[in-house]
Amino acid sequence: MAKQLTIGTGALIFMIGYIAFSIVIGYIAGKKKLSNTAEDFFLGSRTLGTLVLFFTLYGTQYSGNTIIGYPGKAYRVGFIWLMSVTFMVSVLVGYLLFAPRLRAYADKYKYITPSDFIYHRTESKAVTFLASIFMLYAMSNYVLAQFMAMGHIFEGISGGRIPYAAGVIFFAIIMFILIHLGGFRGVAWTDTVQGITMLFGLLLIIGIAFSKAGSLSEITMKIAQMKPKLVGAPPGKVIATWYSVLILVGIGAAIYPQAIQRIYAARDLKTLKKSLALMAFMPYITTLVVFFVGIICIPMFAGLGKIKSDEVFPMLLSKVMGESAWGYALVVIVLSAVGAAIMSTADSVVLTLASIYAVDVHKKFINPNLTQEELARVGKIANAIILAILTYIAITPKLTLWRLTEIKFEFLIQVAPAILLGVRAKKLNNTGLFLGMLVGGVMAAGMMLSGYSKFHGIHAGLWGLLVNFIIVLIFNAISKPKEDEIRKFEERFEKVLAEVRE
Amino acid sequence: MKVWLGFILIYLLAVPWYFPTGSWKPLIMGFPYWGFAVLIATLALSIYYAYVVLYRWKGTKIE
Repeated sequence: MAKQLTIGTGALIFMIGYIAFSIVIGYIAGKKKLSNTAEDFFLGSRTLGTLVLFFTLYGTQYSGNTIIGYPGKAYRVGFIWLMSVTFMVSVLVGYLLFAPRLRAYADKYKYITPSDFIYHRTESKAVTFLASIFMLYAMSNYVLAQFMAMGHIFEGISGGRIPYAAGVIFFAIIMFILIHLGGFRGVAWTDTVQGITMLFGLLLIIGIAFSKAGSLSEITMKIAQMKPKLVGAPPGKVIATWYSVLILVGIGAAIYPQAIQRIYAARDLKTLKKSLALMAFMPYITTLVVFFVGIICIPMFAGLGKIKSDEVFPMLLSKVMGESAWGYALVVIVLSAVGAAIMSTADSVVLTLASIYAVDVHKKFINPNLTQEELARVGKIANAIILAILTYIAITPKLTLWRLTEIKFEFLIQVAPAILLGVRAKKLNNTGLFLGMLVGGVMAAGMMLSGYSKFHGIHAGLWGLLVNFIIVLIFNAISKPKEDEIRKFEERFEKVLAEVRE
Repeated sequence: MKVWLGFILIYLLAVPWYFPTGSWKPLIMGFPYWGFAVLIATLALSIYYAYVVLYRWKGTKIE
């Protein structure tokens, strides 16, 4: 965030107080816990109702980057960025590829993590381990970006009075206490408060934006004169990228473990369906609003380069802030909404990371005899350690400048065959799954790191996924079907399908 | 299967490959006409999605 957004001490205390308030919610949620089990700590005992489930899905899916990063993108590419509205709906369509079945299996077998299913389905430690590593890596990078954003915001709005590192550490401490006290319930409840703040902030943002810039027609005409490319229908290569994004985000974000855990945590199927149906309309009051902000800034702040254009949102806020006391108050609320967006994503992802460590690594590979209570305790310790590691990486510039922190979906999406095919294919060859995932991941990461983040307009992650699927299908075709494996699938999974009622 | 054909059809319309490259007039509600088409198709996607989730997702099947 730009330095020009420096706010006064009173407003700064308001924001810090707002963030620290989540501890209170975590504390109250902790009081409501039903047991000391891992199931309660990681999934709130699978009792989430429609409202809280909806807001935790919303708060988790829309991150700080959606609000601060996307205006810069719209500024650079123009109306093509309408794709952000479509890809946010695509994430939900992605769920439909596996959620109906996975939800039933999870209910029956009490899965806590996505890898619980993968292990139960494949009975392969190698496949489960690699999938867990890919998911951990993608999520760590995702949450790392949230930590760094928070540090920069604190530094920016305090005019350097709160140094970047102090901001990150403060944020990590709040996250630690919230998760430690409240577990999943605390996270979901704070997500609800944060989600409401985000919506309120977004409404203010749209008001601010159009009051500054006039009608959309005037703005579009101005852009067409300045940069006709930003309003023209896109050429073939962009079309390829557009579809590539829809598939990459649609599948990738849907299999983010924190997303899958929310499918597990719904009280019942009806609750899940209602929340998902509502979510389909959130892009219009979130990514579309943010798209407008970027578009409005094209004529307002003409001629910014790539790095500077990432600052258009703070620049717009700064302009509003300088004009009146009312504008100043608006900006403080909008900044709180940005903080809310960052927090509601970070807390969910950190708790999921802790659950993956406890359930998929510690219980499966180190100590299989842990009780539910002990597992919850391991999760709490993992929470502290994960936060400490993330904080260390976030405040060490040598590590954060590494391109490796940019790799997220490239790895994550390679887990898709294990889940998408795993829920329905009777025959699934483990060697194929493992090799496909490994080759797909290495290929996608290799392309990214050698500067080919896209090839013929298609993202590296998707090329990796294509090779991955081909390997899986080849191994499936050439391996002989083992009768006992097929029988096991029928007994373990197909039977469950018949048992499910609404 | 029919349900998925619906999604495929909407996705075909939700990406503006079928308009001449570089064209943008007329403006509809301030959007270049092709952007407006994208938005309408996306809205159709949301409505269709909500319909599928609420009425076609039965137990563990979408049909």
